[in-house]
Amino acid sequence: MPKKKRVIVAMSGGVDSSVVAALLREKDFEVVGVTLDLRVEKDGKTPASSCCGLDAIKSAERVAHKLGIRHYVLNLRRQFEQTVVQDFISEYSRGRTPNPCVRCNQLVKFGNLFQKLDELDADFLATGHYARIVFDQKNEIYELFRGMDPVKDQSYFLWPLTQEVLARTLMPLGEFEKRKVRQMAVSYKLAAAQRPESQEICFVPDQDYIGFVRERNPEAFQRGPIQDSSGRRLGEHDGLPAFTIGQKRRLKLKVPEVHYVIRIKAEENALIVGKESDLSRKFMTVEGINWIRGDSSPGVFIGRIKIRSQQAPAEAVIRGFTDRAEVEFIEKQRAVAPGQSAVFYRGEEVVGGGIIK
Amino acid sequence: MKRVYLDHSATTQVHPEVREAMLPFLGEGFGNPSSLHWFGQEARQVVEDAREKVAGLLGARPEEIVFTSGGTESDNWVLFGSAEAEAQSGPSGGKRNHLITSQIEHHAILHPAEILEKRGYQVTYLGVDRFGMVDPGALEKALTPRTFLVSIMMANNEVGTLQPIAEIAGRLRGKNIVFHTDAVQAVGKIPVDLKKLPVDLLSLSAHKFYGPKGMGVLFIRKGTKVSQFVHGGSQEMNHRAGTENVAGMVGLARALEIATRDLEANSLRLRRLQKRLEEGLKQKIGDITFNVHPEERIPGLVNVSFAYVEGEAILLNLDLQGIAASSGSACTSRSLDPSHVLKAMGVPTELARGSIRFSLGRENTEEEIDLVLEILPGIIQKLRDMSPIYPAKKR
Repeated sequence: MPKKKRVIVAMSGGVDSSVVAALLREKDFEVVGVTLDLRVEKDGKTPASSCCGLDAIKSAERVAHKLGIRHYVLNLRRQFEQTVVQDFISEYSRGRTPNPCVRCNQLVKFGNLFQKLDELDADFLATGHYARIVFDQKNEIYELFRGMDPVKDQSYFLWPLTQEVLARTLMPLGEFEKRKVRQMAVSYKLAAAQRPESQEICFVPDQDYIGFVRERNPEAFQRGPIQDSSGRRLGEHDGLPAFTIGQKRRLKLKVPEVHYVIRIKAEENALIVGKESDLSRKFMTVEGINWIRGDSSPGVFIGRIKIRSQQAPAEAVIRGFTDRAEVEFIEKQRAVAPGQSAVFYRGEEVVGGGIIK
Repeated sequence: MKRVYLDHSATTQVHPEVREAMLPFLGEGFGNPSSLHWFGQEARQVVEDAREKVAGLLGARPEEIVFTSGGTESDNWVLFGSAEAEAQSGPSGGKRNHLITSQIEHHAILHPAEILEKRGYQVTYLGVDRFGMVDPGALEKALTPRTFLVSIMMANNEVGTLQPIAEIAGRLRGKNIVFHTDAVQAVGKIPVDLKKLPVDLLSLSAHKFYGPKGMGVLFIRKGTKVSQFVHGGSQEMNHRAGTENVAGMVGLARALEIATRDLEANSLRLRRLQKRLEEGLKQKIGDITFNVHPEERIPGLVNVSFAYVEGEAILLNLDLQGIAASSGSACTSRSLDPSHVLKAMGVPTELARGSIRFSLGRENTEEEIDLVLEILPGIIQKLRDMSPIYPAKKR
């Protein structure tokens, strides 16, 4: 009898990853569940209820027990703090809008955890992401596609995945709609997995990210000028981390017209504001690129770009280079925020992605 | 898959004879010892028999034996109860507020000590030598006129080092300082005779010597001032409230009886197995360090560091092949920091991270040790081959 393939399932305790574990066990894999302990300390204490908190660990343990699979908790708190949380604080402190989930995928889940596969003699890593990995046999290349459920699709967060990672990663839920996954959870009797959907930023449970940055890096909050694009001073702000591109709240300007943040000049600690029409951009540069097919660049192509997670992709002409891409939108795009991920699609396929300059 | 259990310092399986002894009290012997009626009277007698048995085995008087919910409760009681007793003693304003313990205690001592610190008490955490032993001379030097409590464990739970409890007790004699020892890892493994060992308070836990979980004892030598900790009814001679865990008390007493009866034979066996494991590891795996005392140690505990690898990875690999060990204490094995015990012993952080504790027990066999010696070298080699810090010339 050939040895079963061993797969490590990254279990968050929620419905999605629990169903992945159940599905793979049925498919004759040797399934080992792993939950990452990524708890971030606040006031010297570790909160129990965040997406990667103690509740999640307990829930994952219950599910694993129910399925009769081995389960371990891996402590990656130090790595998460250093690579995700620190970056989140420093990016906001520089007036940029980071995407910690992308970074966590890149460096923690498909980084630190992926590196454990060999340590644990495992063949694959499986996650509950709604995206599809397809092997192109002719070219011997792994491709990444949007999930079948257009609402749940999580491919936006997966652009950093390399060929090496894709080759050993399973994302079975990419084939399903969320509704179907919930049904499967019921039929597998995974009642333990009845947890709320994970929040946007797991280590900022109340979503008060300004307060979080202020607590960790109070020096980032320096008063500075609010100017229009000609340099005219219109008012004062109390710290760049509280603002993102496109924001009109909290400006407190004593002028009649509505103003929006159109640029953040971190080097001068200045906010540049303007009319709504000033927000729209025709061009942008994307850095830190990963092309999914692993080639140096796909050249010039017409594709669609997502510049934030909750947005329909926009058409654009993309000139791809090894390390960056120059983008010309067909229609001007509103509030292009430096630090956010830009992900390039051709049809359903993820061509690559990077960080907006 | 054959499973091998080498984590007896975390917990043990209840001895079949202990289970037998307990069963009647999970059945018809269900009475509440505090009740007036016949059911209660029977249960009361059982509890007092258990107390007498424990007292006899430890060289104590029955009224000095108080049953608790385990080692952690006993330890908490000692710190908070002694502090409170001191605060209530005498009318004078200059209350003593200093206590001495060690850096290698269990968290059941360390965390209460930290809470007392927050309440304004002074705590001295004594260091240890490289084998994990407290220096009685250093302890004596740390004493101040305000010292009211000294708490030093009898055997360490991570490395097994036995502490010079008799000598410390000698140095504290006549000083009117309460001396407590956390003997959770010692009782049942080494002889403990409280007639000869002049400690005032001693904690023990049944599930470390094949008794039931959730059952412990605090020995309180007659005349020792320690305030009540769990309040309510008048059980346990007014020392500890709560309806008695009759089956648990019977189990603890029987387990201690068996452990004492078999102590010498078990000890010999465990030392033989321990030696087989240590010799085998030395022979088959390079770059290892044993974090143990050469002589003063409990039998059957082997703490070993494997250079260039993480203990967590070793444990997971062992478990995937059916072998259960641990990295230090089960209570903290999920924490990020390397063991506070190894740190106190001066073990470098990298080596502390690569440490594993094997704690052997009565059911282990030579074949099981040989299985570990067969499986572990491959795991270590594999992990070292993957380790970025493993020197190329050793590959």
